[in-house]
Amino acid sequence: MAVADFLKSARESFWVGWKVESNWADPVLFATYRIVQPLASLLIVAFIVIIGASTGTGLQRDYLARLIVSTAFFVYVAQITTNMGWLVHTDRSRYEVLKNIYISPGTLHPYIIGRGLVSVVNATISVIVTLLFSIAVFNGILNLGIPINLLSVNLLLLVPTVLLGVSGLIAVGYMLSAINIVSNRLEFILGESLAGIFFLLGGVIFPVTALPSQVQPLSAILPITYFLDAVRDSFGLGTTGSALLDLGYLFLTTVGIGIFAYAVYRKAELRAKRLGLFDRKSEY
Amino acid sequence: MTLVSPTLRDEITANMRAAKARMWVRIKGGNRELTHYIAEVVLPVLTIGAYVILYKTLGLPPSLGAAVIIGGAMIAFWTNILWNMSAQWFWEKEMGNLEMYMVAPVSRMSVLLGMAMGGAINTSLRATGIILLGVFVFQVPFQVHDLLVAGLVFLLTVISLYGLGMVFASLYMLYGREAWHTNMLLQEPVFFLSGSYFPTIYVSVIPVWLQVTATLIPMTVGLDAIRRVTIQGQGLMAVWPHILALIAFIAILIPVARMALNYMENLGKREGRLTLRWQ
Amino acid sequence: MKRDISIETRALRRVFKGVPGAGDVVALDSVDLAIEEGEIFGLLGPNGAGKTTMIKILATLLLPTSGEAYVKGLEVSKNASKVRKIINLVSGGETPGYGILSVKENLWFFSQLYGLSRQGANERIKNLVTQLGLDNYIDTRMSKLSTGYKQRLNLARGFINNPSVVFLDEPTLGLDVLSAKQLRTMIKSWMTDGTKTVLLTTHYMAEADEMCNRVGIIDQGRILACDTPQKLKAKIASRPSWKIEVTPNIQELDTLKTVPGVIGVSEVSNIETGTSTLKLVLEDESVMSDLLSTINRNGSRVLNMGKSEPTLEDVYINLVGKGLQ
Repeated sequence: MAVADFLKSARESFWVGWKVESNWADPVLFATYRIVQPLASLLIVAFIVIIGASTGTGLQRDYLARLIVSTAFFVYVAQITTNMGWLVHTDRSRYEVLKNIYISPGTLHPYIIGRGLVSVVNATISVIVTLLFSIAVFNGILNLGIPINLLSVNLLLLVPTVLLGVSGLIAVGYMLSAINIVSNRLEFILGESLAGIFFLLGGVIFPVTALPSQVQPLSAILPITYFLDAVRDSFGLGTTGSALLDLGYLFLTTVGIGIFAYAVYRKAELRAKRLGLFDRKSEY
Repeated sequence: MTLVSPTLRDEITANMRAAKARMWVRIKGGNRELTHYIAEVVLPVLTIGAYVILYKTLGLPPSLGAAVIIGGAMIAFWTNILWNMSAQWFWEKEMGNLEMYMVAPVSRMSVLLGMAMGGAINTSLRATGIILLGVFVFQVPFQVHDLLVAGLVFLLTVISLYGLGMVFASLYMLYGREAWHTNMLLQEPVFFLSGSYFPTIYVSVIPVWLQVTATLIPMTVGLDAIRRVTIQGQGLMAVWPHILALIAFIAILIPVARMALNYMENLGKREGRLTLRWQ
Repeated sequence: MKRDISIETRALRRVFKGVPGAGDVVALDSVDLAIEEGEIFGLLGPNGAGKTTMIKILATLLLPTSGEAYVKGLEVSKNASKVRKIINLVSGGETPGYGILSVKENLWFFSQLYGLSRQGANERIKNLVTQLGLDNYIDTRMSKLSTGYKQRLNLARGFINNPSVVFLDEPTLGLDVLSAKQLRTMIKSWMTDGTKTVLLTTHYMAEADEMCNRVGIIDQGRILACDTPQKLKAKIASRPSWKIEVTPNIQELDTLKTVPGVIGVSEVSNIETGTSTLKLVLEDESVMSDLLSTINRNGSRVLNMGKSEPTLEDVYINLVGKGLQ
């Protein structure tokens, strides 16, 4: 398919996704939970550090800064994997449109990616609000002197990092959609399980060196680990060495996961066609 | 034709049968998929694990790790209440089953009671799995001196939480996607406020107004009491205010649920939205 | 013998709020109806005529805007819990329970919503399963059943409490001919003791003709006619019904309706053969020559024509001016 057609289909799918995920509900409610939910997640970890400080260990400002930035950007991971993990279920069982999309000339590829981009936009809003709120609360109201300065962020590093990281996450979401086409009843757990694994192994709230040595190699093959490392580097909070090396690893792992996701999709598509799964309805 | 009026005993028997049947469906449905059971035990342990490692990294006492494991178990209840209790009428409507419940001659409260009992039993099994796995993997200390008080506090916490779930279920009856969004809104903030990952009440660094707000959630009170009894080894003298507060929650929430249910059902019948799907 | 009235509505009206700018929708408009005990009563009408609204009000799912509705003498909006003990509802095309549970488990669950004892429930389930030909599927999960078997299960669920009054909303929707026939047989056999009442809505004229003691024709919220199928058909016996097969398909069906003396027309097209079968109800046969000229002017040619016995469809065309399909 021509690139222009692919982009057009992705754009239309983005529009559908935006309508489905936002307009049907009260916009105030929608905006509130896009913002409140990530903020609550951040407050949980931030307060752990602050309560820890009150037990006599002293406030570890650099640690708290890294934790705030990592938790804010982890929103991309949580929202993209969870929402894309649901996509097949909602479109196949609830709206019953998956089969129609599959047989349309645009096929499913741009559709899945277009829908994933909705999560990217939503997550971006959440990330920005979370960062601004953190600075206002921790440095403004609580006056904790957390070393985060949004004006000195290295955008030349942050922008490609986010683009690559988001691409890797969409590839993960694409793979989840493929698995959900052929699986039954995994949609409720797949996205969240993966987000949970990334939260534990991706160095979000503690350095990966704190993990047991047996599981550290797993952390090393996840794009999320390098994504968050590079993001922290761009905020001047890096601890693991070269930012460019992180970016390089992020690129390699993203390409790797993209190829793997495509292979999974092809296999799932063949199986779905053989077993007639594109219009299967999950009934509980 | 004359209709024979059923006795009060018949009515109670019929409603108890309905509650038992709904409980059975929930238990059967919830445990038929092994993948769900595994995910519901393992998934929280992943998150709990991250917090336990964070505590260790920060050099904090191991008792806080134990507190997180208890919090993780209670999160299983809160998640069940939000998605399988509060949103249940919404799911039933989506599946096309709500109409069948609405034409049945039993009280909807019996159906909600059945859902709550089934949910509580299923989630207790999962919560036990979470605690056992958490203790085994992360080696955190527990000390229970008074099993009876521990059981009582746990039971009251679960009843009050499901009471809250029944209120939400009634309020969500007419709503579609808004119910979904409200659930999302109530998830993380309640984890934060109720102290699932760290204590939020009786902690000096948390502002008093925030502590007072947090105690409006039954889970905050219940969690604090359970932690006192199971981690700090305290007894009835330490948790009697918690017990009274939980009883008060139950006494308020169950009648409120009944009123809300009647109000929403009538509103739905008036506006024609009771069984309207795809909202 | 005069029988008791089982279902009754008096000046029943239901108005729904329309979409902004479109005004309110009158789903039922002053409907008066009386259905006797032991009757199978059919409500015939197109989509949006008010059939489902009527059933929802009678089944305690919806409140009327004004007027009254009674089931076994009980006003439904004031005595919902009493009414629910004696009714049940089957909606065609609806999911009849939980996909994860088997046929037997689903039926057992619904029997408990009606407070049946263990023994009573087991006996009832056994009978219904046999009557509806579900024996071989009793332990099959509902999610694995075909559409036809799901609808059989739905019907079994609807009769689980041995209700006095059953509301069947398009019960054979989407079913194959054989399954639909089995369902109709089961409903008729359940009616034999003369104390039960069925209110049935359907699109299918032949189904209503075959099953119903009386039929009410409803359009735009109003009952236009109500009688036995025989009497309804007899009322239009003086007006000839014609069946005309034409090719190619009629392009402008409305032009036939404008021919003086044509009361109503319906059309069924066959895309494969490129033909249309027209059913026409006429004032008298003097209309025929004008009618044939109009068909010719439409560019169609008559292949076959003949007078037909009046059917419920002709009654409907006579009343509404167009067919249901």
